[in-house]
Amino acid sequence: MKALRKILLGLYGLALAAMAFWVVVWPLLIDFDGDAGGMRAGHLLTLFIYLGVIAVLCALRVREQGR
Amino acid sequence: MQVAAHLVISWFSAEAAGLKRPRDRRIVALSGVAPDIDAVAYPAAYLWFGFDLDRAYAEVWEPVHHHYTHGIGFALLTGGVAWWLARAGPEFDRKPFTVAVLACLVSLAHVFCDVIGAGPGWPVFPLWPISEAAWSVSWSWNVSDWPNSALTFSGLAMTLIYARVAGRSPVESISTRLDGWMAGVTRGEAATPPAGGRKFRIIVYGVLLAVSIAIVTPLIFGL
Repeated sequence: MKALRKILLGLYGLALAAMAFWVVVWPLLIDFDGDAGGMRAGHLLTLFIYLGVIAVLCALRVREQGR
Repeated sequence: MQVAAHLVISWFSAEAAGLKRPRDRRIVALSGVAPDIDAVAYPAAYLWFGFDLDRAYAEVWEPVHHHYTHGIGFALLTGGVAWWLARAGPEFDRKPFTVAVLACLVSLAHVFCDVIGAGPGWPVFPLWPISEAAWSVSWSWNVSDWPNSALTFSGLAMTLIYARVAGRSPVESISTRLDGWMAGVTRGEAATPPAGGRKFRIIVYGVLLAVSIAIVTPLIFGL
């Protein structure tokens, strides 16, 4: 369970870093003029991975609390 | 994205990161909502312009919203304030640096969520004050679109479920006492608010009013 939690925390950190990347670095890479429409899947995937990982980590926390 | 969704997502981020102090979870949750502090400019302008909604919208709300608080500058400021706040309070499990980093990242997550879910007509200015460059995507959901409403209502449902199973919830960001009462109600332990009354009821009704306004306003104005 500890290993799973560490993996999930890693994913959590990556998802947060990815969100920061999408708003701070990505616009610079395409010079603020590019069509970001093609990046829709990347944005949505980041969002739903983030929400999913949060949900599982919270569930694990409740489970640990119950013991 | 709707304000309630930002609050719930930020609080659950703090919970998922394993923050044990309610104070720290509250700091991170409020950091995730903080970029929307610019919303106070709209009612202020409405009053300033003598209840002229159109003028307040065109001269203040449109140029101000998402401009100064939705970017890296405000996120760093939020992180600094969070670090300062997290140094206070009980010494048990004090982690000011972790809280500061999380506060900074959830502030940027707010900006990210607004790129996805605030509508293509509301760009963010991620590099302000260094650059005035605006950023938006053509496929962004409007605030009143169903994916945003679905996220908000899912978040509120999760809040109730989590209050029942864990005994705490994002309501903790507003009042620990209110959160405890709500957890009791969801568990069937307390049907009435604890003694001390009037102030507590004002907080409950105030929170309900604020949540209702936050959800209904985008629908009324078709944002």
